[in-house]
Amino acid sequence: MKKMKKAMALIMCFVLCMGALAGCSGKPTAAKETTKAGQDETTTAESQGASAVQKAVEKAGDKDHIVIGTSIYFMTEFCVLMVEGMQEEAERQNAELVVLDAKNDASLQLNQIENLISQQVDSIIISPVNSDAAEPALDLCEAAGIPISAVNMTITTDRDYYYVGPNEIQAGELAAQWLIDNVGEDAKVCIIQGPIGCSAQIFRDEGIFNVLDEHPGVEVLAIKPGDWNRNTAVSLTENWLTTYGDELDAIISHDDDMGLGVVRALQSAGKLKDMKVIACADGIEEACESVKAGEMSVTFFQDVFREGELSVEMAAKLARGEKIEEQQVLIDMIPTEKEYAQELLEDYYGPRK
Amino acid sequence: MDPINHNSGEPTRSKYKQSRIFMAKYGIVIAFVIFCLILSISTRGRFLNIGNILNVLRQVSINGILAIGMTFVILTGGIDLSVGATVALSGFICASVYKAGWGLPAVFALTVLCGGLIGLINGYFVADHSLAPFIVTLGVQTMVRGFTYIYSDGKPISQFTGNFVEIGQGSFLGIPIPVWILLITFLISCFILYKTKMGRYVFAVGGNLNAALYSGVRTKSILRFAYCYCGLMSGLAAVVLTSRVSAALPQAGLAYESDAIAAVVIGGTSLSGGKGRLWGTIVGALLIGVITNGLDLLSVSSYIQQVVKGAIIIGAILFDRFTNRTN
Repeated sequence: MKKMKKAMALIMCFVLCMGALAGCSGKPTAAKETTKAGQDETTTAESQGASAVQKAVEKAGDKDHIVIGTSIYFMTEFCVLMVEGMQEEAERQNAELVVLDAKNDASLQLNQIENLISQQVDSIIISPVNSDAAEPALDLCEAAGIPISAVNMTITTDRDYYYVGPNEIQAGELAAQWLIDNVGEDAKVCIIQGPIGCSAQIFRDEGIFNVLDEHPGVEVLAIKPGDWNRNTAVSLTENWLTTYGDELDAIISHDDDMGLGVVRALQSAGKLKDMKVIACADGIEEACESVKAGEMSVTFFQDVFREGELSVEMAAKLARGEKIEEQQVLIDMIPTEKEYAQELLEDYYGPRK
Repeated sequence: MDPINHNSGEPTRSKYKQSRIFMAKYGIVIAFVIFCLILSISTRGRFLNIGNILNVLRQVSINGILAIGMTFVILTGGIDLSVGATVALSGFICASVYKAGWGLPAVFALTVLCGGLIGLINGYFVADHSLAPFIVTLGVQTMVRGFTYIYSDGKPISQFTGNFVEIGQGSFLGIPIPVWILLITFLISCFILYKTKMGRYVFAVGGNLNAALYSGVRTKSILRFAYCYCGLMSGLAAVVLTSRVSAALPQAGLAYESDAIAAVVIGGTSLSGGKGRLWGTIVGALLIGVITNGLDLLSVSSYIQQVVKGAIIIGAILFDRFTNRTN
């Protein structure tokens, strides 16, 4: 009998846990109450106290309140900052934000889009895992009549769609131009790319070669994907040092994370002083520290917080059927050397701690 | 205990034993139903409507197909960690064959065959060289993933025209095609596992390899068959996945084996082999799918979802331990 009881106890525990989770589904980090405007619902308020009840009632009566669902390709440090921007704008827009992490799995991302549609959100923001695999998401939303917009990564499609993202081509061009200005017309360089097939990789490469094609003296010794992975970048750099040795003048990385990997590898090989490390994009906090310390030569700051804000602003407009002037909003990249890195650390990252 | 027919046997001695056997058999179903009930109430009808149910089924189908194959392997007492990588490589075979202008039957056949071949390699090393399945399939996983990158050069294949995308995205008689594929696969697998000698031997090999060997079972063939079958299923899942996201991606299927193993274990199949059931695996896959779907609907953040999923896996094993412990 004892074992039977234990089994039952286990089931009850399970059920209770589920109940508790259902109750706390309105976690402030993920989203507020799952109440939708105009519908006469109050949320799972029993676990949230009286003030929450009040809030839910207020929101239920609030016709202007909308729900925005978003599926982000992977919650990197960078994306977390973007989501913070989204949250802040969502509050201003009287919107509730549902954030899902697609864990770099294109199929999981589609599942999440379907689930957001089931949840009847008013607007969906997708940050695609892979540009080439995101078109089905457009189909799904079109069929369900829910507006969708992309952020940070484009969607490979013939159709028009709404997009907020960095100016990737500019990122590549600026990085390549910096190389020519600071190393010279006869620079020998290796390039570490993002995962092949994502828009950041495609367009940053395009930008880099837009410039390099005009400067035939520059020699690209090797170009390989590092998949946004710091570790991979370390190994790549080590191997390049073995292969090319002192021939190499600079390494261009498609992003900060891999750039920091390059710095790490050069440091341990004692070659950091002889070489320039150029990151095409992001200007994350750690990279700014590195630039400030004189390790990484330059990065190009992308205001990802602002990007998040803009994407939610766009999604909210789409949900409310307001007019949108520009279908594609591109965010300028800002060259970040020592001075600006210092500024960013103090004014941009400092207050967020 | 008789490894083959563990549910039948002596007449029940007491009410307690009866209910314990019932719990052992249907506990997972009860948990599943309770979970669905909670979700139906807490999502206010968003969970329990036709559209969303079809969503869940479609989302479950890929993992379901993989888990069916995994059940065969785990029943033999083994494990297959190469499933995700096999899906990725088969996906590229699938995309290339289709892009080359071959018809859908050829696409299915070649992709599934590619998966089966990789499975056979696993089976060969496990059966003929008696290597530990964990290590063999881990090695094969790494190699296959590498081949995927070599073959694809890291680039995805996408932009399909024609009816290929219908496989993953379309419906037949109102039910998504992936669900049909899962259903047919399930029925065929049930037939193989329960109605053929080969299938019964899978249980026997997992229950006691030596006993099976001495009773004249060709254990090596059975092992090879189980791994090959798991590979075939990975190939099939690859067709569905490639069509669903309408792209073959080199990083596709990453860690899919863990969800498949989870489904099998939650479904009540013993990791030590010889004991298990196919319908349990389907319920396990459904439970995982419902958790993800339900928690998405409830706006629970992805971080918490992982914790819940892990807890349920451990809960399932504990539950199994309590109810299935034989005296």
